[in-house]
Amino acid sequence: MTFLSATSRKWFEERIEAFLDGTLPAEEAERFRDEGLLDEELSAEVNLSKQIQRSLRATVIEPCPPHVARNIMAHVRQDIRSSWWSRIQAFLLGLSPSQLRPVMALALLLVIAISTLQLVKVDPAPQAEVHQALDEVKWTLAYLSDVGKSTGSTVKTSVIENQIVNPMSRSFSTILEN
Amino acid sequence: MFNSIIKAPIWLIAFVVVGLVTPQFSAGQATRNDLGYINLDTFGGWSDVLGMEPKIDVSVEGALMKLVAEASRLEDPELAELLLGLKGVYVRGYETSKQQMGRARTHANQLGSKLIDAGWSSVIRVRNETEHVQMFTRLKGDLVTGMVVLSIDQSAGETMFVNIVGQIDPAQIGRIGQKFNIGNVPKFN
Repeated sequence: MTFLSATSRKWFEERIEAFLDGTLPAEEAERFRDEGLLDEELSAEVNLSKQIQRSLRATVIEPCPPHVARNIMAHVRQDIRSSWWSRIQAFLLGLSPSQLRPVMALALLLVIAISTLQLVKVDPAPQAEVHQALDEVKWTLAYLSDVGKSTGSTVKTSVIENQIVNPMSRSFSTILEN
Repeated sequence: MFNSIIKAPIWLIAFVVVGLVTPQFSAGQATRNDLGYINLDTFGGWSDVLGMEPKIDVSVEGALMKLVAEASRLEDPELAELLLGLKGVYVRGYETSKQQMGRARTHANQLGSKLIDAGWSSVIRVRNETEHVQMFTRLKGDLVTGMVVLSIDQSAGETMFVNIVGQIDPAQIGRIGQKFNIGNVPKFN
């Protein structure tokens, strides 16, 4: 038997879950206890909900085996991909050649832009590698400069001084003496 | 035909792959096809003659060379300018004992002849009791596009084989090189 009006009954029914969870505001919970639970039909509904909640909580949820989850995710991803590709295909096939041209141009532009971006970060420029290479290049230049200096000095001493300047100087002295 | 093109995304993937790979491949490869480049390992053959791997092994080329030039721009704009003209810097350095000096000198002379046969010009050749230095340049028109320095220093106990590829001004290299200290990079470490 119920003594609740249809409106009141709806009000209580909407709050059964919250009442059982203890999330109803204090005033509403008090009204639920004082009025709602006195009604046999509503009380029976509350009891039934309570039993369902209990049995749901008691149910042991088996975890999905990882390989099954992986396969499912792979299928989902494949479905998403093929659905995207089908949509793009349908879109492209629906275009006339004159409409397709700007689309292709845009796609080409995108490819070029992405390629350029990729090239810019080709070498995420390992800074250490660049600095080492810079040191090596500086060292090579220093080495070449050093070799050039020492070679120049050898040429000056052994060739210019010994072979040209000194003989000429000796010749001039001999001429002057005579 | 139109449909088949659209249905096959392969052409698009191939385009992207070729677009991404070609410039990276060609940067270093272009330098190695340059007239001023010689392969220090195969052409030099020093590892076979001296029976050891190089203790100094420098190969800076392609994209790395550009990055190096840019890295030096703030610190030394003149150096950056020089490096932007270069395509590659290669060095192989070997420890050389007194016993190996004779063999090294003979091999250096043979290499010098091979370079001249290959179109290089001998610029400097110094041969005395303690040192043996040969410098070669490769010209393209009036421009120097490659330089090879071969140096055997008995007092230091080392043989160095250097190749620089690119637009080279030997005077500029000498002037800029003076600013740096050889000691900054540990040799034979």
